[in-house]
Amino acid sequence: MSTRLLPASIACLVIPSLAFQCELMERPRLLGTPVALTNAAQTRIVEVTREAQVRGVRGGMTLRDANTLCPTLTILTPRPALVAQYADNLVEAMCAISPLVEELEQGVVFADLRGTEGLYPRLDDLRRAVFAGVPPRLQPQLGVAGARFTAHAAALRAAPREALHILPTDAMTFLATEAVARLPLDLEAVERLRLLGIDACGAFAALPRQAVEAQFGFPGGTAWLAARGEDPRPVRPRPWERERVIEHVQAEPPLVSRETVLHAIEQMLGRALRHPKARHRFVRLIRLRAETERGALWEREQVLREPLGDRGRLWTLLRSLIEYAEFPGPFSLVSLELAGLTEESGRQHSLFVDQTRRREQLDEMVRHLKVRFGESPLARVVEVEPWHRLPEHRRALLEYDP
Amino acid sequence: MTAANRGKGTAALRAIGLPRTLQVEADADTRPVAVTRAPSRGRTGVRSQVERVEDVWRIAEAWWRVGAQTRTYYRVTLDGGRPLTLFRDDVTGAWFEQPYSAPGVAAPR
Repeated sequence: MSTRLLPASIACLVIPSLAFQCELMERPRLLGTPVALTNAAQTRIVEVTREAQVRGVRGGMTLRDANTLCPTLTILTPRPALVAQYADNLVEAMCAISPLVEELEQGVVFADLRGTEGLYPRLDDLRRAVFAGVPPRLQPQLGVAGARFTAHAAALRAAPREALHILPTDAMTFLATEAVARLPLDLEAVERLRLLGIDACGAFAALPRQAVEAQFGFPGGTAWLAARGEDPRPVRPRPWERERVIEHVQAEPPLVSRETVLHAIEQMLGRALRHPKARHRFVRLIRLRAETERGALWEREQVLREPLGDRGRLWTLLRSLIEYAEFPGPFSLVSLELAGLTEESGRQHSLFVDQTRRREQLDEMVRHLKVRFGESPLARVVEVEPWHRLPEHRRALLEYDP
Repeated sequence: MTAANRGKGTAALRAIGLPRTLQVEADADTRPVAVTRAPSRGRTGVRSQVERVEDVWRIAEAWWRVGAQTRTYYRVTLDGGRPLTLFRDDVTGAWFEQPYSAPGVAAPR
């Protein structure tokens, strides 16, 4: 173990049972009490606090069994929107230390530390920088190593709010007791290894590489290298993840009417566009997420045909997304994500560019007016019964609805 | 025609060319001799004499049904030379103005 970081290291930030930690963060009064988190179907217990564990409550129990064992147990249900919000914050925390960040899953984030040795020469410097962006009560754990699998294992073994650094020379020994189920192998391969009596990475790494590759192919070779602390998989940052701005609104009391939801989203759009990341840039994807009081999730996503940087046009689009949406209930949490931020508009001009632009402008204008006045102020004359002898039966106005 | 289906996913149709009420003084043969247009759009009602009746025709629409519409149209020239098309609803006796053209031909102003 060393406190001085080596070049070409990978850091891994882990929040074990993120969904549970998020719920506990939101309810500080539950600190020191028996609490359990259910699965999404609300049928079984998946996580428990130490206080609940002492009273015999375990993961996998039914809610009835858990309540029988511990009548004072507080049972929480996961809220996907809230978890997504916290997971986004973790990505942001890692983005503060490196431009190369990958979110493996919610609560597990990798950062490639190449080139940041000067900024964070020691493990403590890195730990402080990462944990500065993570609420301590989430119990973050940080692992640093020369390969991503080792860094992930180190993070999982680190104490809460602590960091663990594994040197390349110690990696194989460190990973020897790690379960093979954690290796980048499919379930079938892991089961075959178990049947062969190979449960730990040490035993797996002791096999000849050729034999492993003969049995499990290329993924087997990657897993074999990972088990030896030489995981060749790099940190793969996705532009979507870095190039985005997310705004949240937590409503108390919840937003009941559509108008209030619109108002909240309009405010968030303004804030998001004022964000330094989004200023003078174009948006390629809009994602709206909302959660009801009871935890039901509502989500809408719109990939824009052409990147937009204009607030008015983005607002028109957002309104159209929610204008006729069916909400599952009053919203207690709403988030707006502007993603795929780009410098260029990247617009593909139409051959009939003037007509297309005019039509787009007209459509947007009509949408605006329709929203404002409740009905489209433009109409198209259509023939109904042109042969009719009474003039009022011949033609009619059809509302122009782009 | 006038019933407009407004709401989600439905197209709203609004009738156009509807007749507008008109005050008419008629002679014994129910031919118009003077008209007073109803005030509208900030315009006050003005009485005009009918100089001459240019044309008269009758439309009995679906006369075999209950509630059939029967109208007698008059194309007249008012004092000052301004043309006007008006009709008398033969069922109710009420007078209306309405531009009229043969089916398939654009209505004159």
